[in-house]
Amino acid sequence: MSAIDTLVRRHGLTTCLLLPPLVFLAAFFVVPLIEVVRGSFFAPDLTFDHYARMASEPLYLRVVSITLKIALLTVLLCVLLGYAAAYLIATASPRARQLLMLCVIVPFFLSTLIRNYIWMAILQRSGLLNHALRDLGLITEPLALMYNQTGVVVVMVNMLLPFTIFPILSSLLAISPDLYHASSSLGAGPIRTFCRVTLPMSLPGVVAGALLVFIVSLGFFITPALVGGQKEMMISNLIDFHIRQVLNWPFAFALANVLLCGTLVLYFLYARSVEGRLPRTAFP
Amino acid sequence: MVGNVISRRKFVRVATSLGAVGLAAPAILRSARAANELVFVGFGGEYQAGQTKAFFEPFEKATGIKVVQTTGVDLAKLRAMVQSGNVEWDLVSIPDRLRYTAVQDGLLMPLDYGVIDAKKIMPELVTPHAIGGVTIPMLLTYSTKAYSADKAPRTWPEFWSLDRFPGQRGMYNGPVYTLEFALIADGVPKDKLYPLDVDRAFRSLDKIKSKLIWWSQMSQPGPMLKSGEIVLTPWVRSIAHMLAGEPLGISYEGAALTFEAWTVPKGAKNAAAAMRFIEFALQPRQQAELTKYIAYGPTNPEAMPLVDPKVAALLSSQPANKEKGFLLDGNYWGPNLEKLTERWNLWRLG
Repeated sequence: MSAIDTLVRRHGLTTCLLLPPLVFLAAFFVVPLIEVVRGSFFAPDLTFDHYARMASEPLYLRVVSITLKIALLTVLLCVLLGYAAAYLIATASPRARQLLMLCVIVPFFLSTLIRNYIWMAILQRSGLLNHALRDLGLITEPLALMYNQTGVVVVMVNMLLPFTIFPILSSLLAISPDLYHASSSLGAGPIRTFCRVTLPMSLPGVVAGALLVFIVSLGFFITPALVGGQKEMMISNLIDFHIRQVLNWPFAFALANVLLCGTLVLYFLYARSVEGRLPRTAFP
Repeated sequence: MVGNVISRRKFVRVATSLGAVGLAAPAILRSARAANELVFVGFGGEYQAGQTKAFFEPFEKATGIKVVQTTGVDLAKLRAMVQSGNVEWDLVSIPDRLRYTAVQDGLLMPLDYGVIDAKKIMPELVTPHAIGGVTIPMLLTYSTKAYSADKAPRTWPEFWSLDRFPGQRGMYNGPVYTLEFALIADGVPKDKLYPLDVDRAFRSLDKIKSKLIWWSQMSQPGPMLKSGEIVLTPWVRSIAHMLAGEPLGISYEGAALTFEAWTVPKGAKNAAAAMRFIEFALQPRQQAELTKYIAYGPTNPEAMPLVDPKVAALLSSQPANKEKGFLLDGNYWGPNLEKLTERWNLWRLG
């Protein structure tokens, strides 16, 4: 006890609290990351072959661009739907809010694989959705909802929606009700209040949610493999293949590094573009 | 604030020593393992449940050596174990397609053919590091709801004939098996497949590309056939599903025959017991017992008379079935898988 006391007195509480997570990250994140970067250049001598192969084979750039496209589409839909859901939850009565939150959280308890299979039962040609649409007389031929980009994006949005709902919800709940009263007493209608008060004040949540969804969706590989079609190939599928099927780890590392660098570049561009335009409350 | 910041050097020192404890943990746990047991890694599910009944339980009864089971056969994990010198598995049953890579990478030890008698096993399934445990066919499979038995497609040229046999087809998402079938469909005799004429195979695949639905997990075709999403596909689990009463039909014409092999990882701690186990698992009685639980074929021909005739007639170990198919060449795929998969993916996007 006294040893801890001395430590806290000598270095301050913040440092002492930060130390365990920092050590954890150093041992289990930074060290492996360095290994991944080193492994892509040295095998064992310095070589740029893996990066050269990526640049010269047309496959890899195309898959990177498909990955970005699917990820951005997912982000867009997650932000739109997530905002609507968060707004509904924020404006609901406390009891209803609890119930709605539960609805968002419960699917998290199911494994990703099982959720993929459930979606396959819903989206396939003879699936629930096509049956319902046909029974309602809206379609005569089943729609192709799966084994294409539609299927992949629908399932990914379903998996990642909570990542936008929660940050947006917390910024919505942080807005003081006084601001709404002020807005309406100054003569603004609900739409104007939303555009001038609610939206700008909740933007930090939107930014945080969008970034989370973007980064997580870059790493998806089960969903494109199960509900994707000919062209829904994501970079993680290729990384998985090289890691587990042919054991070409240096090349898999190179692919992972390109993905990581691309993400970082996008992140900094994004951070620069929104810098100073957000309310000072909480930039992610 | 300056006084509160830990010096960088001190931080690195603490971090390194904590990291070292983390890295050493598996070695500390490892020493707790009993000597009289064997760790097996399998694919789980009904297959592994069958292996338990047919192999593990009788082996423990006969020798007193307990087989500890885990699931998740993964070459990457095996490589990490071998490289770190901490091999947890003593016994792995791996598909022949992965065997080449495992041997090339130095992950397997040579089998002890003083203990294992290889003479009783089909000779084409015996290699220095692996010996066939079960035969598995990738078969043309169709839904009997879509085609009556007398009007069903039986060959790969018929599978490729969209006019005569309309309907969505499933296909394995990868070049292995698929390029072979495409060549047979295009008229290449099945004994002249290797080395594959890759250009010709892709041209042949182009003809039906628009009607293909890709699957990448072996479990996927089941629900797809059941729901009518597809009516035709190559598949390795058709026999088990037929025996379970599902409305499926199969044809061995041009089937890709492959196998799963018993192997022992390099550095396995109970290698000697693993060799004894393999010899035990290759006995006719054990191999026949497995077919009661999962419809994969024996590699020991003497096991066939002991198998339920209804099941035996469907297995790829049956000489009449074997003759109609071809042996998938793991030695061709090993060195070519990476390049051909790259080309395969590009073709898919094309």
